[in-house]
Amino acid sequence: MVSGKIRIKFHKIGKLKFISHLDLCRTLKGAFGRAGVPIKYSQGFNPHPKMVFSMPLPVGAESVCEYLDITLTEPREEKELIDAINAQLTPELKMLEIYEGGKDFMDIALAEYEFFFDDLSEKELESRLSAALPIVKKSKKGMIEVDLRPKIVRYEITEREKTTRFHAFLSADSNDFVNPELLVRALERAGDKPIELYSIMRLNLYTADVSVFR
Amino acid sequence: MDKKIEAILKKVSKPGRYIGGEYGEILKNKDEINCRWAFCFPDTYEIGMSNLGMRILYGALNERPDVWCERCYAPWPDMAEQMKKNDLPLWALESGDPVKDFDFFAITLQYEQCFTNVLYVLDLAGIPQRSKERGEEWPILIAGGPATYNPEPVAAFFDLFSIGEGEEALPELSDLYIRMKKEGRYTKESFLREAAKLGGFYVPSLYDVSYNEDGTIAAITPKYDDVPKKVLKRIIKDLDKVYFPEKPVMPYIETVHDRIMLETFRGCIRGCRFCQACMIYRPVREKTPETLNAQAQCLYKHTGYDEISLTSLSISDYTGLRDLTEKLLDWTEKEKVSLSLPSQRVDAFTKELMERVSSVRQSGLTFAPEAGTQRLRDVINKCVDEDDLINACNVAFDYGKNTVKLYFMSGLPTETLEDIEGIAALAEKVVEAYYKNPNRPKKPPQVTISVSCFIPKPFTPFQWEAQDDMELLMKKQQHLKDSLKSRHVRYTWHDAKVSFVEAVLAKGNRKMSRALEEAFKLGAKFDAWDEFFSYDIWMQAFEKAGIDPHFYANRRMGEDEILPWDVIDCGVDKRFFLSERHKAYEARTTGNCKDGCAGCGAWKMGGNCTWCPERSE
Repeated sequence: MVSGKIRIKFHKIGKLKFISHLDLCRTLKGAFGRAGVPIKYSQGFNPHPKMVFSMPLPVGAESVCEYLDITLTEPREEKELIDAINAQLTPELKMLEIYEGGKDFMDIALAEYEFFFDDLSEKELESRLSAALPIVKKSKKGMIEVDLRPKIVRYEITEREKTTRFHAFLSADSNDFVNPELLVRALERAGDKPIELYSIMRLNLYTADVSVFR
Repeated sequence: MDKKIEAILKKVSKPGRYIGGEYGEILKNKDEINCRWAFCFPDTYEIGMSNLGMRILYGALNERPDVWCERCYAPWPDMAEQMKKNDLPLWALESGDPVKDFDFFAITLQYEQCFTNVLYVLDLAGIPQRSKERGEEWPILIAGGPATYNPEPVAAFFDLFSIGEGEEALPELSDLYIRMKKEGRYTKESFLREAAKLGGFYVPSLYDVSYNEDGTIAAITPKYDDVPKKVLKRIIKDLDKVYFPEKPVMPYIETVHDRIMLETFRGCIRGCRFCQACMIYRPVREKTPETLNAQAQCLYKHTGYDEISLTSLSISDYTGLRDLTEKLLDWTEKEKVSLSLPSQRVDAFTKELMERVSSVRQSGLTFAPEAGTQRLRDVINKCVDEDDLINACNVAFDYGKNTVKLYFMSGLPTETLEDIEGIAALAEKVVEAYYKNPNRPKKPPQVTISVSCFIPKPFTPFQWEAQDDMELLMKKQQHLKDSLKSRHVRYTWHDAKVSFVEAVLAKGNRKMSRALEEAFKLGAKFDAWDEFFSYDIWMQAFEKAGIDPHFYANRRMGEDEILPWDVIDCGVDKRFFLSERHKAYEARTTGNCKDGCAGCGAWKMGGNCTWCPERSE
């Protein structure tokens, strides 16, 4: 049984990667409603279910490690709750685990990604990673340039059948979060050809001591 | 997902429009299907997904196990550009298959401004635009919806039109198609000939249209004896028993009407003389409160939406409104589901009604007096007076509202500058009423008047009328602006140019197809969107097609003239339209269906009509 504040781990894969965060919220709200999840609503003039998400996922990127916190007004059995919600969703958006007592979202320090590039060879990718990868970012002081290269903590490149797999651990600290989509754009600017055929999948989140976040 | 499609989805705005895969979409095994429909709403996904008619027909067609109906919408121009660049023809959302490979390609036409988007989607689909250019290998192109009551402007592009309500007609058409294919006697030509005999289907290629020297129509003649001279629209006889989609497709992205739409009844008892919807959806047929309450509960369970909108042309005319709202409020309040009642009439907006919908988060109230003086309101048969409006506003003010929006039309038949001044006077009387109301909130009032231009529409008593020319419309707009004194009145008006083009298209004949093609070639698309509508393109297109737009929009048609849409029978008699027109000129009103049958003729369609006299058969 779970009650009170609970954490849900879910995946957002396939076509669903093209759904924005706002639309994801609406979709989940609808599914929770249909599934009869006793979710706590915010107070005020326009009450809405309270949902807190772990970290932004850019439109176009997939993930098998999304986390969402909600508060239940009544206890529920985990498996029943998961099944009830999943019955109201399509398989590409799926609740994987429900539990109490998750770690603080502020503790997230690293995110593990898998990129696949069809138009970037292993050699090409290596050479682009050998220099700085600047991007321009909005900050409180206006537009500033940031180098993403030092934020790639560890990586591994393999090539198979003309597809390059880039397995990387990127900084995901709440004030130093690397947007994987922006990393692809920085890699693109480091060369002279557009990078168009690629995919991004978030695999896992870690805390600063490199234990798996949950 | 195809890598090429993925790559372009990363480049376009709102990619969620193009992915399908929503909860509730209907997937089938292609091997078990004998007839595939691609059903297109020729505007954006957000608008198309909000259309109840398309949702109903999608479900109704998919009821049959060997028929599969899929959806498609008009891609936004950024997506269209990418599709062209990458050689990706328009596909249907469910299967991802190109629509050019389907058996039927259906397009719903809800308004005239989407006519160029017919050509736009056909172009993107890689389907030849003219029906004459399409052989057996192409899908059958069919259109339906309110803008096809005059099908002639787009007749060159479609193989056939479904006139009226399609829940029964389209499955019948699928049956005929499957049967003819199975029996090995299918050719497109023979199929269309048979379809014309099913009733409610207009096949333009089976009719010859000849013209007089002055450009008016000399005759509309069926080419064969077994083709109906007039195509009578189809209606559903019993709305309580008709197919109703219980599990709607739930869009991921936000659509225009993201709520439960509960269709309470079809048709309208009123009979405003400019209103096409009122006439073409007759006779009035209602669902019972019991049916509606059950359908609302079912939809709530399957959608999780927290708002129910009671839809109709005029909700306060629904006979069982009190009973229905009581039944609904019984459970909706508990479930935090709100009710909204759009389409209010001022003479029916009461304290009681306001109390029932007080749970609704309504930003403001909207009423449509349509004209500024009683004389002109009588001409158009609006049947409301100033007191009705002031009373309705006072109910709203009592409940703490300080904003009211009023809809008017300019350019109505017999309108004078005095009637225009009447609009300003009426708006100011509402402001006055606000300050006289002791219960008003402690905020200044804001009355918004929104003025559109009258467009004469087929199948209305005003179908013969001329639209005011643009200069006069603009002069009237200016006159209204000069007549407004109160700073509490805000004034917005519709672009007369848009209304002019709409009038030309609405009253067009078959010659209009050329103008549409020219306009499309010049870049016209999404004409319902301000950012795309181009008056210059339309004027060039009319010129290239050899069409004088004023002949269609600004010419008063003769009462004995053959109208382009005379080949369609909307159920209401032409005689009735004529007598209503004559009464309009005498400023005489006609009572509504509740007061007694006015003899419009729609009763002959039969069915469970709420107000029509019994049919003796």
